[in-house]
Amino acid sequence: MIKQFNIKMMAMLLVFFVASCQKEKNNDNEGTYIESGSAIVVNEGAFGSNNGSISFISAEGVVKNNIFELANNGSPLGDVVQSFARVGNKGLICVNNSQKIEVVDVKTFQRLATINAGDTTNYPRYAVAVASNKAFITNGSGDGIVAVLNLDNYSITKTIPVGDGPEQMEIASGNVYVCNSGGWGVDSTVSVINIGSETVTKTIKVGDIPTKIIRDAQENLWVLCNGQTDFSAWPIVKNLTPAKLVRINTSTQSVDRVFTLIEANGNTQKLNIAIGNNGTSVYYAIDNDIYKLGIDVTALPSSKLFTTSGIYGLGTSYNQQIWVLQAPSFSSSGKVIKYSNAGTAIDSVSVGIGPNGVVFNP
Amino acid sequence: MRLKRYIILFIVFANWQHQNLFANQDSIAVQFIDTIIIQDSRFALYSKSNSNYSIGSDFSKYYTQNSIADLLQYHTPIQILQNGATGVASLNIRGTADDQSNVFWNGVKLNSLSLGSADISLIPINIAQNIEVITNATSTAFGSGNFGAAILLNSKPKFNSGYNVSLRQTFASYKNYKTDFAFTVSNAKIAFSSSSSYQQAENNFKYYDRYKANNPLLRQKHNQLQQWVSVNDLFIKLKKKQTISIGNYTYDKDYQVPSIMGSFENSKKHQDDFGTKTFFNYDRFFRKGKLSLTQNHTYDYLLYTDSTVGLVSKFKTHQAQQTIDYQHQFNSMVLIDVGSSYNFNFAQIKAYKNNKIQHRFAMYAATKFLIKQFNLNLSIRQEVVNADYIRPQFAIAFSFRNKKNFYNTTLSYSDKFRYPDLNDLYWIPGGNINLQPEYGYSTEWQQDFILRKKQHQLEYANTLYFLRIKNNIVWVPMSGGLSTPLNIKRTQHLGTENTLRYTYALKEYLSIKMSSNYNYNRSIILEDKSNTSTDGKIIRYKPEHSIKSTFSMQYKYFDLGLNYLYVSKRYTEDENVEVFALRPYHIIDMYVALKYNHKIFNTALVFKVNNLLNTSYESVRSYAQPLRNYQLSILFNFKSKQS
Repeated sequence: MIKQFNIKMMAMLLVFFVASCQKEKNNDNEGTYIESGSAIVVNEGAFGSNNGSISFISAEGVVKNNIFELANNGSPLGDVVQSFARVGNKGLICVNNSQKIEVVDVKTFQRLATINAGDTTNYPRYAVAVASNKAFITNGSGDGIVAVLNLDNYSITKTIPVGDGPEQMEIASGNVYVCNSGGWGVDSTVSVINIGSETVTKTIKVGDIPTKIIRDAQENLWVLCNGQTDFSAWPIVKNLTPAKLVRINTSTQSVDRVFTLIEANGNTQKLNIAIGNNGTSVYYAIDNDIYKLGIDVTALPSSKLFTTSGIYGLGTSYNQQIWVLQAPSFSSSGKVIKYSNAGTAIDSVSVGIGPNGVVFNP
Repeated sequence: MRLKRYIILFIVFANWQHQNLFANQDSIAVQFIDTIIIQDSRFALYSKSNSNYSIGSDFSKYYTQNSIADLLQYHTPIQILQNGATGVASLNIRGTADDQSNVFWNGVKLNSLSLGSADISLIPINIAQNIEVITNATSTAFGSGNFGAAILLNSKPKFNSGYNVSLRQTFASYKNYKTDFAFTVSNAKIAFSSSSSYQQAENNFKYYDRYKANNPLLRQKHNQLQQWVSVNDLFIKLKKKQTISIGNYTYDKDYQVPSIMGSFENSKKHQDDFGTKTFFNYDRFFRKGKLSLTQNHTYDYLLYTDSTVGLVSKFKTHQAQQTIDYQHQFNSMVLIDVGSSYNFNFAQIKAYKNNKIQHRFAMYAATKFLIKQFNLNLSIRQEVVNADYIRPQFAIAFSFRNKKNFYNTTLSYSDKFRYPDLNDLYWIPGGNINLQPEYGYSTEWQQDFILRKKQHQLEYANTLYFLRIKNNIVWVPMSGGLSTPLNIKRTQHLGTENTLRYTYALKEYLSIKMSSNYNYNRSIILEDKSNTSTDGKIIRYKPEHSIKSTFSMQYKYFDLGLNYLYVSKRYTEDENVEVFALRPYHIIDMYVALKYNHKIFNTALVFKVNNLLNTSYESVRSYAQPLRNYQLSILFNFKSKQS
């Protein structure tokens, strides 16, 4: 009797286990654009051609291009797609030269709203989620602002003046850190905005022309500063001021590490950064050379991790792959080349025109 | 008497190939005036063996509000790409790029020195009385940049015509007004013509914006235009068999550049184009030859501003050209032509950092053999740009015409090249001074059939062509987030052009003209070193199929006309992604005119409907085009009794 009972119990547990597994496997996100391990690639397109796009790469590596057009009866996404950010169950696509932000359902990419609020969104660059229904958006090629977007009613509730040409943002310890690149001019600061008060509480001096920012596992921020460029000796292009990788300690809200990537008067090269290994490694690219940096080091590595070609964007996936985004031209498709974290090429796929960034789905 | 005989020989040579399907009375390149020949530039002489499309002035009178772009669009295989209704318009011929064809006005090259291409929106209808499109134009005659074609805009003096004064006022949709004034006077020795026009337009037309959600119907903003043009020609017959011709063409086009579709902000872009072009030509006739000396000068100024980003971009360029050319008639079968040209180019452009000077020197020679119904042309050219030797150019053409002028065929081969334009070489950042010229070759087989019976004339022309280009210059991304031009592409262009034309003329009060032109073009990328995935793909903005049809009827006091245009699907990027392709479109324009003719004056009232089908289309991706629109023109023309 007891034996029969145990068998029945075991059978019931097995059914329960299998059912649980199936439930896990058939979760709501599978087959959507937020399935675990997948990625959204932002393709800015050619300036003036309205052919920016979004590509989806599944966890298995299957690519689906132009997913916005596919989900919206062929409606073009717009001109110069700068970035994508997820805010709750919505996605924000900043379309820079169309002066708009497209709000989509992150699972289907169907358009929920198109936001244009005049001067507050006429040069949108990046968005970051500060609540499940609220986002900050950097805007402006000159005098910069951060626009506060309410995603319940799609309205701009506030604008926060920051430095010139605000670019990427990152959240750390209840604050949003904004890179002020200078836009068409020069700036060299990072603005700190308190999420609660929605005011700038501090401005931190970094290097010239900060554009990219990432957060490491210790809640510190790494800012990529390109430095000023001098074209007067063309075809030789020099950095007038150094290009730097700067670490901001978010506890003290001050710079505690400065690494020079290109010295003043050095040859200008394209720079990129990404955070990897669960926030414990900073990957940075100088031209086509990829380097790996521990987050506690005090000196740059003496040797590169590997060399690739034609980097236009850089990303690191949750399974520790390094993704190099290539834009061979602005009249043909770009590529994503996947590398292991040791620098071994794994795969290559075609995406849209001018891929500049990738957002991974956890 | 001997002189007259040689003059007649010249005419025979020059006209032998000219009686092709498309020629009409206005397109005759050589005129016999007393004992003096006034011939078009040597360009025409070199090109007689190639197919060409001529448009006489009778077509142009119904395009009064437009540049020559519309005229070429409907009456030739040329595809026009225009950035909106008033923006830059560029030529796309046989699948080549806009900087791979040239436009000449009385021998003066109108292509931009900095960009390489010609903005034909700047060229008014009244610039010339004769327009010829020379396909398979030889580099031996035309120099750099004729992969697609050479377009010749030529003035045609009328001696002994007394005076003629005409005034035309045009009113069109979207507050578009244009005033034209023309004056000609001539006697047996001097012919002078002057024409000028002024146009202003609001251009706030409606369009469907498919780049916005729900495809809303919007009104174009920031699209105003102001433009004036002045064209003056003077032709003088001197004693001792000499002629002088002088001309000037000056324009100013000041316009707002609207936002592309999908934008929410009004553009703050503005462009001002100013240019003045001058030619001076001296011809001296000898017993068996003719000496020509020409001096051309062009000045171009372009100011582009975008107050959104504080951009102010100024371009100032000068081109001065001298040519000396001698043609010699050995006998009734052999003609030779030798000559040389020197170009001094000067650019003052901030983005080049320093002023740039370019010297171009070329020597060329050609010969024609005429044996009964057969004609053979051979020509060569050697050009040097600064210290760079261009590969020697060679061209050959063989023609046959039957005695009754029913059948005419030409087989031709031509080397081609294009020297990089100044922006490719010197633009900072990006310019590449190590660029090589683009090289290529083309072959063409043209056949014309003409049937005439009483008042009826039926004509059919077929042209097959094949063109290859290597070292195509493409701007590609480079280190530091910049772009630079590289010689990385090879392309191939093949196709056929077919035209059927029917003309019926009954005395003076009824005439009917119909023509239909079908073009097939397949232009593909053979190789792109920056991206192998584009190999074999169709080149962007090159339709495989296009149809142009025109119908016109003149009956007593009325004229009626229809123009039809079909352009098939076009890809807008190099990998032929369907999502970004532009869909096919059909356009129909229609006009009706009421005329009255008197001995010393005539008048006409012309009503024209553009885009009769209200088609929403894009010539260039993202640039709005007007829907159905209208124009009304009133023309008064006064003339002396002898004209």
